[in-house]
Amino acid sequence: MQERTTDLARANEEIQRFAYIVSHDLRAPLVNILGFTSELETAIATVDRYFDELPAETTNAAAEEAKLTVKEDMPEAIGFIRASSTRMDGLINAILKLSREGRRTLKPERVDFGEILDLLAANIQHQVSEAGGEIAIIRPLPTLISDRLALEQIFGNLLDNAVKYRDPYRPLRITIRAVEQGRRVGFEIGDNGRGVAKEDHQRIFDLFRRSGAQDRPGEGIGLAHVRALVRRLGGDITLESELGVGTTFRVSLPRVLRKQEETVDS
Amino acid sequence: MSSEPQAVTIVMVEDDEGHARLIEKNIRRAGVNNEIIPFTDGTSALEYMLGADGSGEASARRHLLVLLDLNLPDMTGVDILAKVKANRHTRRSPVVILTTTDDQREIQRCYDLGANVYITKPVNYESFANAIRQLGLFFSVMQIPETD
Repeated sequence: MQERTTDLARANEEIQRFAYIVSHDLRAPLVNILGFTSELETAIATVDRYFDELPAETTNAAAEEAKLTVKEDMPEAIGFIRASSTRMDGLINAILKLSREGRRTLKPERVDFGEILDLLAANIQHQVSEAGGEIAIIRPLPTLISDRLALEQIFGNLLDNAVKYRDPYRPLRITIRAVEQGRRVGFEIGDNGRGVAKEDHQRIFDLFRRSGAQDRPGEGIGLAHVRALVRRLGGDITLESELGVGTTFRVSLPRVLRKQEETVDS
Repeated sequence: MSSEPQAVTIVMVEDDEGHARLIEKNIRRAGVNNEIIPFTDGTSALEYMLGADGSGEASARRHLLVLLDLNLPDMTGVDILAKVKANRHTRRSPVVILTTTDDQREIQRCYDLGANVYITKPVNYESFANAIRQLGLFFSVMQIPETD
């Protein structure tokens, strides 16, 4: 068992390093694509000005065609190149962020879970009340020895999702409770939002994958990040959901996070 | 400084030719007209700076400013930095590290080895161009010592 954990940790470390190298190396060509797109734009502006200042009597069919190319086709092409490479930039940054997070050394400390939840609930309170909703935190909540920042990110993300994917036709209700599980603690974050289709229950934890109507901003990063963090804390995450009824995320975490060795930076 | 100011040569070691061109364009935009000699690998850059014999005599009485990327195909820029700063002819030439890495240990190591400036290439092109232009402005007011 111990051996398997070490193997897993090593495999995980390798993936993290791989992601870091890939994202770093993908950035260099991207700077060129964005950079030369800007250069091209400047060049087109020069030609554009030339056509604007061209006396009307010197123009001919070929010049008219060239003018149209400069004024419409080229800016359109550049617009697409820019939009796509900017999007790619965002995706690479997301991978980089995930791999950075995976390399951060966890600091186990005494964490009052109720305190964390109060803080996170306060962050979204405004949006929740605006939608006529409420957040119910069922106490008692346990105290863990774990990494505070990771916990904040995990539950902050889940709460943000509950708000983001609420059903606009009924007031949002979020319920959070803890379930004792011996050496582990289970947390349930339930909402009455729009729900996740059965076939997407696994998929939504994959990087860049999203579920349902794509009517909310986002890149498909949040839950991938959450699952990576939960696993780093030695836990697991699952969900139960019904379309149009709501979703409950279940996070199971060890009560005490063992102190890990320093992760090696590349 | 010699009484007759000699032109400063910028040695640019950058394996990505696109980056090299963008760097040059933006340095020029800052009004820097000095000669820029580009190298895309470490071996040829070292040969230019330290000479074929590696003695550094080749750079005697030159005014060099080195712009160095750390990720090169044949060696790491840190090796080049160490060699340039260890050679008595080139050690006073300012070395500017311009690279994608923002790893704290890497930055410290470069300053320990005598790097004069360390800049992380911004990913966003506008910031990239802006950083290079500012670097260019900095170059235009910098005093570069003559090498021994």
